[in-house]
Amino acid sequence: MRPAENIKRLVKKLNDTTSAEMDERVRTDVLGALAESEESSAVTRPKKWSTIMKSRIAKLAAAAVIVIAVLISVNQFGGSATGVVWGEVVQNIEASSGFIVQLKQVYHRETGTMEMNSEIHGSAEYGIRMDSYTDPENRIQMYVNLKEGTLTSIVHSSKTYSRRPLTGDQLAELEKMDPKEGIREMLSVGYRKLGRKTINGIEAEGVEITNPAGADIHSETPVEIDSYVAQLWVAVETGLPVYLESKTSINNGMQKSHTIQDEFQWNVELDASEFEPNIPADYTLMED
Amino acid sequence: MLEDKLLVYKCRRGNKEAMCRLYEKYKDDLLTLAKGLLGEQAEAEDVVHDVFVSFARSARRFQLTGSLRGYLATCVSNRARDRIRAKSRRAEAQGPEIPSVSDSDNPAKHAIESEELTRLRQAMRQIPYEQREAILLHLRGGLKFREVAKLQGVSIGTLHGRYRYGLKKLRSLLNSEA
Repeated sequence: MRPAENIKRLVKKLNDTTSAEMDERVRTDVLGALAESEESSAVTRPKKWSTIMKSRIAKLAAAAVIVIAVLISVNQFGGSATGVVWGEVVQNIEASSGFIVQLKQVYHRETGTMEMNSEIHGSAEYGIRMDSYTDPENRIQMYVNLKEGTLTSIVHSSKTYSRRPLTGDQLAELEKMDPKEGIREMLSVGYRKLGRKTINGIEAEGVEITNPAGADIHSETPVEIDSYVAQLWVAVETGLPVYLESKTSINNGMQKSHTIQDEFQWNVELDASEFEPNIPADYTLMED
Repeated sequence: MLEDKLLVYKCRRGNKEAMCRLYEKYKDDLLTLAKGLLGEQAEAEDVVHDVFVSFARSARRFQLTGSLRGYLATCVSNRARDRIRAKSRRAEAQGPEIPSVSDSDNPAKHAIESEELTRLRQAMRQIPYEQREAILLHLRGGLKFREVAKLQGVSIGTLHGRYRYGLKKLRSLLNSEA
C-alpha cells in the first residue's frame, strides 16, 4: 500500500517540457503582444467603466471607482513632477480589465451597529461579483451580469436566491445615476492634497474630499447628509488606487457609516466562471 | 521572489529579455500543471501560450501583489476550466465524443517516462476535476490551500476534503493497478 506521502512525491515528479516549436510560437506571440501593448498604452483606453456603472449594485460595489471618477472632471489636480498624475488615475482604472478589492463597511444606527466585509471582483467584460459576510455564517453573494443584464442574489443563511432582469428602463434609470455627476457636485465643495505615505509597503499620494452637507452621495433614497469625508490614496508607481476610506454622517448624526476599501488588485485576469452564480440545488427561488 | 519582482518590473517597462526569462522560468511548471488538469498536450500548450500572451498584453499595468508563480498557476487553472466547460458544452450539443488518444498513452512517451508516472497521469484523469485541480494547484502550482479554496469558491474545509479524497482515490487507483 502506498502511503499518501508517496503519491505527493509522485505528483511533484510530474514534469512536462515544452517543445522547441511551442517555445518559438510563444516567444513570437508574447513579444508581439508586448509590442502591441506599448503602442496601445500610449493612445487608447479600452472598455468604458460607464457600462458597468449603469448597474445600481455596481455603483455601490465599485465605490472606489466612483470616487476616483471624479478625477476626470478635476483636471486642475494636475500632478507633481515625480508623483501621481491625478488626471490619469481614471484612465488607469479604465484600462484595467479586472480588479479585486476588499470592502469593510460599518453602519451605526439607533438600533445598533452592523459590520459587513465584502470582496468585490469587477470585470469590464463580465460584470461584478460581491461576496459579503456580516458574520461567517451569514454569507450573501451578488452578481451583476452585464451581458445578460441580470442581478442575482444568493442568501446562504436562508438558502434562497433571486434573479432579476435589469430592464431597459432600469438601466436607463441607473444611467441617470451616473456617479460622475454626484461626485462632480461633491468635489465642487472642496478637496485637499494629503501628501505621501506608505500604505502596505506601497508609496502613495492622497487627496481628501469633503462634503460638509446637503448632497446625496451614494444613497438611492433621499437622505440629508451632515458630512462626508473621503480619503483616496493612489500608488505613486502605478497611478492606481491602493486605499479609500470614507466617513459619512446622515440625518443629524442618527446614522453614520465608515467604509474602507483596500488590498486593491488591479489588472487581475478574472475568469468568466467567477461571475457565474453557483446556486446549490436545494436553494429556493424567491419571486418578486 | 526578488527575481520575480525584478522581472515584472522590467516587463512593465517593455523589456523583452525579461519577458523571455519569465517564460523560460515558468513554462515547464505551467505546462505540467495544464497537462495535469486537461490531460492533453496540445490543449495544455495552448493554455500556457494564452496565459503568457495575456500576461504580456497586461504586463505594463501588472502589479505583483503575491507570488508570480501562484498568479500564473491561477491563470492556467482558470483557462483550463474554461476549456473543460467549453468541451462539456460541445459534448452536450454534439453527443458523445470519441475519446482521443492522449500522449500519456503514447508508447514513445512510456519509454522516457517511468511507468509509475504514466500510471499516475492515467489515474489523475479518473478523479473528479475539482480534486485534481486541488492536488495539482497545491503540489505543482505552489498555491496555499486557502488560495485554492478561494479559486474554487469553497470553504477551506471543503478544499481540504477534495485534496484528501483526491489523494486517497489516486492511491487506491495506483494500488489496484499495481
